[in-house]
Amino acid sequence: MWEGKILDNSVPHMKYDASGQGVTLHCPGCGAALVFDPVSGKMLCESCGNMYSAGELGFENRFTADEEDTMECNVYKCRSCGAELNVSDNTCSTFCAYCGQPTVVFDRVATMKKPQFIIPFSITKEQAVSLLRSKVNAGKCVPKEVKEFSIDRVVGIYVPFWLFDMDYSDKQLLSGEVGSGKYAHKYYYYREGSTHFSNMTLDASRQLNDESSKRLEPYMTGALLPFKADYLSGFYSDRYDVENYELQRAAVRRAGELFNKEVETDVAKSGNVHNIVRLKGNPRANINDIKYALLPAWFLTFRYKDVPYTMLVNGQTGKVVGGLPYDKTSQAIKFSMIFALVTPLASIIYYYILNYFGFDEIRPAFLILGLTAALWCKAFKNMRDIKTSNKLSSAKEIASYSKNR
Amino acid sequence: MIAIAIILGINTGISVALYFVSSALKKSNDLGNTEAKYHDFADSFVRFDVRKDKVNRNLYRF
Repeated sequence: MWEGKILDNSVPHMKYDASGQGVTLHCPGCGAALVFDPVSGKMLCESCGNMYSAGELGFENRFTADEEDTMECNVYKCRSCGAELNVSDNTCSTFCAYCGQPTVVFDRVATMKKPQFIIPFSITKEQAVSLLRSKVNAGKCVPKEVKEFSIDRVVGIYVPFWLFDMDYSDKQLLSGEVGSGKYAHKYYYYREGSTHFSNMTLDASRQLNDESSKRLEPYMTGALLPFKADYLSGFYSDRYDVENYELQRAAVRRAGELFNKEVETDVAKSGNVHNIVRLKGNPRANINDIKYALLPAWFLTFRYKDVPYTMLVNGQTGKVVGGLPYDKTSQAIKFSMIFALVTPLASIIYYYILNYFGFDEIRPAFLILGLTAALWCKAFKNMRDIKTSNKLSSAKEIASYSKNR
Repeated sequence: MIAIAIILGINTGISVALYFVSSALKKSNDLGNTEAKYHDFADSFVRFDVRKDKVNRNLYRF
């Protein structure tokens, strides 16, 4: 049982935990722990239902970045996958948010670099579940058992991100084609330009793989607030384990990719240019500032055929991320039906086409092969995307990522 | 002739079926498979100081 002590007279409802280091806020009315309510933006007492602003609790600006660089937090460790979870208040971790195993033990009280900014949860747990349910129900290829899923667990986690401010410029020589077939002409294009990126997000946790965090984006960084510990109440927060210098090259690379796409779009617009290829470039990047922020995400886990699937929901925008399971048998039946319908029809049409052009004329056959090759490519890309998403959503995969730490 | 038509027909049948099944599956089951775009991180468009079309590539050495 938690036993707190009054910290000081100026903040009467803030208490330290038994170790004297973890901080929690308590309801002035009934004494129960307060949690942050995303809907109202206030601290909610789940026991008596009262709500308090940070100002009313005398807590405002107590933990802004200007005052202290570090903060204390309780660190829980998963014996199964090795993940470490930070819990800033009296929330007791009973299972690992990443691999789902109930082998989580209190490890230590640690000092962590205090985030400078935070985007508080604006999507509630109920809204996150409802968003996922609506997406699942809308899916035409989702098995019935999945549509009637029951959530195993829902965890709100503040994911650590580094935010990069950067000036980026480049001069590029590109080639592109105008016209098609035998009328196609190759031309060269020169562009020299610059731009400024602000709050470019890069995931600072090895625990959550980069692909998942990229898919969670974009976060509306205009809503960034100076960090306050009371936003963490009722949620988990992950601690950064990737230093910002480790990500600087990735940030510049990402800026380059985004910049290059804009240049390509500009060249394409200059006169129906296609097949654009970058031949030369001289990029320059200047990182002006790097900020540490916590951004919100919901982790929702359900089971299908005894396999846990973890879907993510952006805690600010409500974007649902992940790969839903599908029934291979029903997809195989669909495939067979389309195949059975198309093949004889196509064969008859091709027979007449080939007869019309004569046996010596092979161009129609190559044209048909070319068209179907495009379908093959698109189909393989789709299948690869589905496979990747399914891997990302499988808790086993997330666990294996954590084992690599 | 008929053998070629059948081979092409089978090839078309497989590719069309695979395309339709995978497209439907991706639309239905692959949720949120998008990344942030340029304007999610930049307030303004790229400012082009020099913009030249149909140039002589040999004049640009850098």
